[in-house]
Amino acid sequence: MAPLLEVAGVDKSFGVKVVDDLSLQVNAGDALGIVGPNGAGKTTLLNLIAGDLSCDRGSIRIEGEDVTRTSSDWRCRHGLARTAQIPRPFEGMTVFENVLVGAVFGAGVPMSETNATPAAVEALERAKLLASANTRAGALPLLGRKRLELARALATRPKILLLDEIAGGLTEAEVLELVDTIRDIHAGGVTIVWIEHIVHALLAVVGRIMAMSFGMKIAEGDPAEVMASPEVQEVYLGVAPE
Amino acid sequence: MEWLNAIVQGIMLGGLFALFATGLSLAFGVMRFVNLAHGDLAILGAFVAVSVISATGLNPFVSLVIVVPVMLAAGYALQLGAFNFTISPDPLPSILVTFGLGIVIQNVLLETYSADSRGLDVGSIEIESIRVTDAIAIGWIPLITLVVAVTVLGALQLMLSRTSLGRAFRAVSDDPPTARLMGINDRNLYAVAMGIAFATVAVAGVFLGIRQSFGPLDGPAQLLYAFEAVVIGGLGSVWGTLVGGLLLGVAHTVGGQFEVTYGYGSGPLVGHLVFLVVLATKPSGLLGRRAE
Repeated sequence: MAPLLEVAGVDKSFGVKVVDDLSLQVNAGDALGIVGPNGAGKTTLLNLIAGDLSCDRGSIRIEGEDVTRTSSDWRCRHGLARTAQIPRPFEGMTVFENVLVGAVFGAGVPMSETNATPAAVEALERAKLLASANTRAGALPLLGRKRLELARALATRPKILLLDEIAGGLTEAEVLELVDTIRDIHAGGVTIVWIEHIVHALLAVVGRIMAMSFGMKIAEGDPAEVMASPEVQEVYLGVAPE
Repeated sequence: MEWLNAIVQGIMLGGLFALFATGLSLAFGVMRFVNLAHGDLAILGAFVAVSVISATGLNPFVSLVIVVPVMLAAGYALQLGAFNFTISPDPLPSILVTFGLGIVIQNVLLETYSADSRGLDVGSIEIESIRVTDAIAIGWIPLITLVVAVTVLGALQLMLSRTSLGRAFRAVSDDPPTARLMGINDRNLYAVAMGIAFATVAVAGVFLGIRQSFGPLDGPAQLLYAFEAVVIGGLGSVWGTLVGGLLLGVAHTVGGQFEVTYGYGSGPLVGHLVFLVVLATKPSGLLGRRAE
């Protein structure tokens, strides 16, 4: 069977190469973590996978189907969801309305609000945000906004969820809370690709880590081994190999 | 009593202005699209009605059943085929394209219908009115126009606040990339918004044609009043558009009281002055959200 997500030889350049001949496979049920220093091209890679940016070269497949030339809204309707590094709720709407938009339009089939409501409620439950359903999204504190990013993404019924530094900016206690939520979401059958600087948060969820530097993959495999490898130690922690 | 009458008639006239402004307000609210052809589209709607009436013999009110869907489809197609390519943070492309479209519409209308003034004849109801007091009488046509304007804007507000389509409009208005991540096809949604804008301006054009005579080159003047109504009320606010239209209408008729002394232009002049005062003192409009 084809992998759920397959990135093959993808390039992206903004004058300089930001993603350089990168390949990556994610099978259904996987949880992959992506680490790398600032400017390594992690968010650009996520944007390429989500369809916010188009690849200069290479291809992206979901369940074997080539989606390289499709738009981000098409990919959303076909099982891909992502959260933004800086939460971007629709501020004028309530939390519930925000999630309802995802539940109606991300379904992939025409759907009335009445039929989409159970999915929206379930997404709020899974993101542990049901208590704030009627709050105006603009009034949420940071952890709430991060949970809303999760809930909205879940409402679109993703097979694969792309998380972009979702733990960034939170207090230690909040990170632990959020990690619990993400672990539950993964256990519920959603495949996860997660970019994160807070390594212990990643390690609590993912089964595999890929390290990037200057747009290239420098290591991939077991989380502990990757983090301990000399290449990662050097670019990530600034420690020169012996 | 003369003044009270002027205000009452102004509110009626304001209904027409609000109807003109609706589509402009919607297109700007949803996609920050400035449509300089909006006035010409209203006139186009009126001429489409002329053709429909001459072909079928329908009453102008009834002709809306054909005119509105035709204009809705035209708006949808034009957005998909042309306007979508101008959508960008830079407003200049949309202004240039719609400026050009306005000129095209005016000249096609001139070629097709000649420069003669037309009117849409709805029969004796045109001159009938309800006597409120000896000094105040409300014409049926202005009253119907006002009721239709309030109904159209009310329906639009309901749609925006209660339906999934409305929520999608609010989502793309707020943040198009994030809306796409929710599975919303924004380009298609823009086309739907433009279809609705064309439909409402066609209604406005037909009511204009019932109220007064019109010619192929009358669009730009209507555009000006529509813009003033939108700016007075507040960009992107549905009820603001209604308030802006009504205030502008009252300004026109109250200003019209000075016609005897200062000549015909006094009504529009007072309208422009009200517009300038609002623009200078409350640039975001009476009911507009504060500039972000």
